[in-house]
Formats: sequence, structure tokens, C-alpha cells
Amino acid sequence: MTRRTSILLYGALCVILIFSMSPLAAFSKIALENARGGAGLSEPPATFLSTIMRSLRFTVLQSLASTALAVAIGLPGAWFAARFRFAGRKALLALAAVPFCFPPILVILAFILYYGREGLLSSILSLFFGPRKQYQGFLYSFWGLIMVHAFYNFPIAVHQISALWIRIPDTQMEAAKTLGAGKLRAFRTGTLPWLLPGIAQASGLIFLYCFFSFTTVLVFGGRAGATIEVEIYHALRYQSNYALALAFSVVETLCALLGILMLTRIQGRTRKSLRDFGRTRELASPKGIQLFFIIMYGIFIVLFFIGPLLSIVIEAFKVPSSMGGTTKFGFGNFTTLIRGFQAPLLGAILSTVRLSGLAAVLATVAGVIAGLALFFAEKANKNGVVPKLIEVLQWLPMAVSSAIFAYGWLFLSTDRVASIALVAAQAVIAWPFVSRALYASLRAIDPRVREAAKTLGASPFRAFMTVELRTILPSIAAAAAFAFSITAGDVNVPLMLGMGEVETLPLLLYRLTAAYRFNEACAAGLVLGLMTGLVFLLKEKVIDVA
Amino acid sequence: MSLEVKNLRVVRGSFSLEADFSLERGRVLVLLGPSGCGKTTLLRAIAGLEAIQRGEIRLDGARIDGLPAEKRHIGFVFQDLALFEQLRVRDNIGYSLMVRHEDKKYIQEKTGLLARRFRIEQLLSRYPSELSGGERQRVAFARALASEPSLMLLDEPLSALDAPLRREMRRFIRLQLAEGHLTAIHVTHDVEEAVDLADEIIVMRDGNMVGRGTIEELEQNPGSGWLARFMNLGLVLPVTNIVPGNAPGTLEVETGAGTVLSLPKEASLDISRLSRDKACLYVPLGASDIAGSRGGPGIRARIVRHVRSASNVAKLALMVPGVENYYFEFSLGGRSADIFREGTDIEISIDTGLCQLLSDEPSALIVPGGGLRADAIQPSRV
Repeated sequence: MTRRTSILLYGALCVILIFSMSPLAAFSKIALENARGGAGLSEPPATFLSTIMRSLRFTVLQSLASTALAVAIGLPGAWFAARFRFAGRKALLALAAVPFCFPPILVILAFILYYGREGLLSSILSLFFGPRKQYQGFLYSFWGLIMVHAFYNFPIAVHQISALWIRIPDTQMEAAKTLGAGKLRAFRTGTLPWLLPGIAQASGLIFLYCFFSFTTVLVFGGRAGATIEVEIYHALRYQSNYALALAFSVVETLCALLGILMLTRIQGRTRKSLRDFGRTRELASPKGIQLFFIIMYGIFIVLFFIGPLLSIVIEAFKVPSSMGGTTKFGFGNFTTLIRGFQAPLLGAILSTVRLSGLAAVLATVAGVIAGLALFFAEKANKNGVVPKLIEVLQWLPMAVSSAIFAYGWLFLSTDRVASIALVAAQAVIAWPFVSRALYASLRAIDPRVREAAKTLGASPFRAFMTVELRTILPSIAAAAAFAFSITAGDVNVPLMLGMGEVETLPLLLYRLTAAYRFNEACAAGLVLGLMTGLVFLLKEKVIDVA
Repeated sequence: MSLEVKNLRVVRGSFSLEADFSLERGRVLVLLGPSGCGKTTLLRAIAGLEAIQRGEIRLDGARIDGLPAEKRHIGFVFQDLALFEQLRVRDNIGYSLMVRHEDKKYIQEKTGLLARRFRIEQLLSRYPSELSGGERQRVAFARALASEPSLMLLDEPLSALDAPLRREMRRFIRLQLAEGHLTAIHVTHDVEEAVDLADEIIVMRDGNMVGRGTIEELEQNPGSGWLARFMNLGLVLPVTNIVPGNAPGTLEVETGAGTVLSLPKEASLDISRLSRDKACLYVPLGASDIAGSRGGPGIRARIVRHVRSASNVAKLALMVPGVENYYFEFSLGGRSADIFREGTDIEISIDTGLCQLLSDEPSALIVPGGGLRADAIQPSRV
């Protein structure tokens, strides 16, 4: 490694370190001061410990149950997508973008409208099982929370498992059959050992998402319990107890790091499997019973997953009558939000575009610096400090509560301006997606192409500009779009900051939902969904980034 | 007969395969053909890994086409070997005995016996990822043989090996098959490998059997210019015109090389078919020689390359001016290659009495609706 490269790499590392660690340091400093000043852990240690244990138990339990159900729903879909060619296969795989591109608050609204006591499903069920009042609904219970998490995350299982399954050749299973093994044993010997890392990887990812779930638990888990993330929210928003929030956060981070460690190991094994197999299999046309099960699965997904999302569209255009008259369809809800009292929609759209745009730009810049630094540092020395440290920093947003980042930046900003903290915190959450996407696309470039450019007379810089940059630009664009999508749809950080100075679209949606103005919430949700869903236009690239 | 495949048809999308042959116990049949011709599909259909549309497969007299793969008792060595990477070599070899719930002691004994036979005793505790290419091959063979199958199917198992190891493994396989008096079908696209391993050869193209017999039989009667070129059985020249010769019972054949040869009428097996299809002149290697030593009429060929193998066998790679994209190899026997300069032309004399006029395109040995064509060669006993 040349001296110039070293300086550049260490410079890049410093930028990333400051960007990622300074809010954590700022929050920790204030929280520790808070604790020393006597406003810290007011409860006796035993009570405090039992609160943490109760919350941790609930968090782990709901994450495990949600993951198990999500994988159970996703596995048949993964098998169908990996083996058969059928109408809707691509759509099924594209659903993987839903958990990333559609904000949780929108999906929550969809589930309330569809599965709630007054929802569409209960209306249908009442036709078969008697009057609606007998259906009590289970949405606001532990199992309701599990169901919402499972349906929100099962497309990840479909996408990740099928991506591996489609590459696992049949030969090992066939070898087992020719050696006398029955179907089940042949599957256990020839396919399952290769599939398990894929299942474990999808499970690990879903588990982590559920572990950090905030809005969904806040809305649906109320009676059943609170996750650590929700406890942090309560400590920050209602008790201003930073020390307690820090203590919860440390427990959460330790658990998350353990999960991440396991996940990275599993990912290593999955990558090895993918390397071993390489080519994807040819898809077969489903016949007989296979076709029947695919159709049944399709109906199931449409009924229980697409149905709720579609109900948002229907409800957005349903204008309820004020005096018990008939319900009409039209743009009334949108008109109310644009011209009615306080007319919040346009302002919310503008502030979302402004703040999320800024956050996405910041995340892209940081992500590009980190991605390039990681790639070149790894090329120089795979086992060096720089690549290892950047790898760890990339996982940080998945291991630390977004609330801590948000409050950290709030403490760092002069006059504690919430919008600055919002932009910075969201950028910290989003930059790893950009750096990962960039790093992956840099790694995917065949080194021989670079070498060919060099043999044709291009300098390393010119080779990078003419060959590599052209290849990685689409990935950077997709990652930036994705960063915009997740920051625009994020309600966690604004809620944590309790922002009153600006109204973003997810915040407006949350407030309208809390005020039971569901139809207007749907109208706002439709606008938000269109905004964040635009990245669907980039199709597979965005899903890869995700 | 050990294996009988009758009137078999396999359809995969737009590709269809037809096969009809039988194989005696203890003989090795090689399926030879270019990539995508259906060799592997045929093998998989026999093993029960591919659904058949019609036909019968009998093994030792019993019909097996209705049985699932695991009940057919056929050993299969896959192209990528398909070793179970999560199992040790010992468990890989003993797998078929384990799934048949054989006694543990018996499995251990049998595994040890096979390991000794295949010289892999020291590898029994290793995982497949810790083995070399040749060792993996041996394990795959031992595994397929463990349950003493009635038939061994070998799907290009040597394709991933380098040339010296491939040669060594070829000898090893032949020896094992002969020692065990095993009935086997070996798939390859390598003519040298086919000749080396086969008791008899079936040549396939586009899902059809287009040639069958021993190498000598195929040399004598390749049936088509394509097959002769594919197996480098002799010189194949395009024919531009055929007219009755001046001498009674002869044909004047004008070749693409610009030469007119007088051939006896018997040289053409089916003149009516030749008039429909693109015709070619097949000159077996034994019917031609360089420098006019055959005494007959000749054609000019250009020396492209001297080829000298490690065993000091000299060959010339030749092309015929006027015939595009066609190269053939000509053995020099004991003669020195030094007198033939690359890039120069030489005269090849031809014994026209041994030449054949053939259709360039091969025709299937199976007639539409099933069954072998009446003129299809039946292999002679070796």
C-alpha cells in the first residue's frame, strides 16, 4: 500500500468513525452525567433488572415467534419460486422490497383496516361465522403482533431462500436416490444441508428486524408487552431518563451484536454455497398437484398480504358520510388534506422530500466513502484493521437503537434543532446500505476486466474511471434511491424526537391513524407509498441493495 | 441380456430423445456424441431420474421403468460426482448400505473392502472437500459400487480431470469394470475415451442414435459423413456431382476438392437417398495414404501441423484446399514427419474400391413410431 493510499484510507476511516460514533459518544456523555446527577436509574437495581429481563424476554420471544411464522409462510413460496415457472413468480420475488420500501406505519395502517374489528376481513368472516360483534379480533394481542411481523417479513424469506435454492443442483439428491434413499432422506442428504444456511440467514435477518421493531410493537403490542426499543422510547419521551435509555440500549446492542455475529457467520456459509453452485437451475412448468398448490399459495398471499395493502388504496378513495348517509368514492380525503383544516399534506410532502433528500445525499456520500475505503483497504490487506473496522461500523446501525442516534445528534446540534438531528440520524442509519451496495458491485467486477484495461494502456485511475465507475454507478443510484425510500418512510426517528417543528409524511400518517381518521390516513399513506415505492422502478437492483 | 431399452422416448420441452438398444451382461457401452445430443438424458432416464414418455426399460429381465430411482438398484457416477460434502468419505461410501438398513458391521467391512480395492483406505476419515480430483473420483466409484448394483451408469465422470489423470482414471475404470464383470454405460464426448473404454459404441446426435457398433464396424460403415468426421474415421469430402461413369458399373464423382474420382456403383448404399440429401465421399483412413503409395487417383491436401505425441506417434493435421473448415488427422505410421513441411501440399492417394458415397447428414437408427431401422448395424460380439 502506498503512503498516499494509506493517508486516504485512514482519512476515510476517520470520517466514517466520526459520523457513526460521535452521536453515540454524545448521548453516552449526557446519559452518564444524567445518572451522576441523580436523575438516572431511580428504581432499585433488582426492579430495574427485572424490568430489563421482562422486556428482553418479550423482545426475544416475539422475534422468535415472528421469525418462525415468517419463514413458515415464506418456505413454500421460496420452493415454488426456485423450482417453477408460473405467472406471478417475479411479483412474488419483488414482494421482498415491501419490507424495505413500504414504511411500517403504512403496513400497520393496512393491517388495521383489513384485520381490525371493523376491517374488511372481519366483514367477510362475519358472513360465515355470524354477526361481526362476535369477532373480537386479535390484532392488538401478542399473536396479532406476530402475525403482522410475519406477513411484513415473509417476502424476505421467499427472496433469500429461493435465491439459494435455485442454485442448489439436484445431483446430490439424485445421487442419494440412485443409492437407494427415499424422497425425504434424499432431500435431507442432498438438499437440506445446502439450504439450511439460506434458511438460517433469512431467519437471522428477520429476527433482527423483529428484535428492533418499534412502531409495530408500539401500536399492536401494547397489551402484550413492550420490546426494548419501545422501552427506550418510553424512557426518552415520557421519563427523560437518559441513563435508563442507555442501559436498555446497551442490553439491546449486546444482544444484537451476538445476533449479527451469528448472521455474518451464516452469510459466509451461504456465500460459499453460492460460490460452489454458481449457475441457476432451469425452471420447470408446474403440473397437476404442483400447480394446485401454487394457485392455493397465490390465493393465500393475495388474501392475507396483498389484500391489506390494496385496502389502503380502496380506503383512500372512500369518503365517509358525515350524517350517516352513504359512503362515496372520490378524492374527498385528498381534498381535505390539501385544503381543509391546517392543510397538512403539501407541507408534509415538501418537508419529507427536503429532509429525506438531504439524509439520502448525506448517506450516499458517507456510503460511497466507506464502500471505496473498504474495497481498497481489503485489496491492500484483507486482514488489516481498516477493513475490519469498516465492517463493524457497517453493522452499527443494525445493532444500536435509532433513538440513541437521534438523541445523540440532537445533543450535538447547537440549539438542539430536531430537524438537523433527524437528517443526521437517518443518514447514519442509511449509509451502510449504500456502502454495502457499492462494495458488492465493486467486488462483482471481474478483476480480469480491470487487468485487460491496464494491458491496453489505461492507468489505474483511468481504468477505474472508464471500466469500474460505469459498472458501479447504477448500484450507487439504486442505493441512493433506496436510502431515500427508507428515510422517507421512517417514523421511528421523528417519533423518538417528538418533532413538533416539522411534519413529515410518516408522522402525519401516524397522527391521522392515532386520531382514527383512517380514510385520510390512507390518502396520506397512498402518497407516501407512491413516493417510497418509486424505487420499485429500479426493480432487482433495489432488492439486491436491500 | 442385462439391459434392454425398447422404444424409449423422453421429451424435455422442445427436445425429444429416442432410444432402442440392449446390452449384454459384463459389457461396456459408450454413449458418444456432441454436447446437447441427449446422452445424459438417456442415462438419467435409465436411472429413473428423468420421466419417460413411452417405452420399456428392463434390467436382468425385470421391467424397471415404473420404479422410482431408489428402487432400480443402478449405480450412477455423476459428472460433478455429487459427493455428499457434509459426510466423511467412509459415510459417503457406506451411504447406500446405510439407507438399506444393513448391519453396521457389514457396512464397515464392505466400506473397508472397497476402500482397499480403490486404494483410499487412508482417506476414510476425511471430508470430500479435503480430497484431490482423482481421490474424489475413486470415492464416487466406490460409493456407486457399494450396494453391488446390476448396472453402472457413468455420466462423463472424467470431464473435470486434467489429461494425465484422465488417462490414468480411464485405465482404472476399465480395470474395475472388467474385474467386477460389471455391465456399464459410459457417457462421453471424447472419441479417444470412447474407443479406449467401449466394447461397443452408440453415437448420438440431436436426441437420436445415429450410429452403433464396435469401432471397427463404425470405421467400415459410418453411415454418414457427419459421423465419420466427428470420430475422425477417415477423409470426408463434399460431393458436387455424380454421373454414370464411362466404364460400366461405375460412377464419376466430382468432389469439392476439385477432383473427379471413378467409383464402383456399390460404393453408394442408397443412391435414391443420396440424390435427396447432401452427399459426401468417405475415404476410410485405411483406404488412403500419402505420397501416392496406394497407387490410385489422389487429391491434394495441405499440411497444417505436424503433431507428435509424447509416445512418439507422428500425425499430420491436414486440410483440403477448396473445402472450408475441415481438418483431419492422418497418422504417419513409422515415417518421419520431418520430410513434410508445414504449409506445403501433399498428394493423398486413394483406393477407390474402399470408398463410400454417403449422405452427409446422419439419419436416426430408430424409425418413426419406434423400433430399429432395418439397415441399422447390429454390433458383433467381441
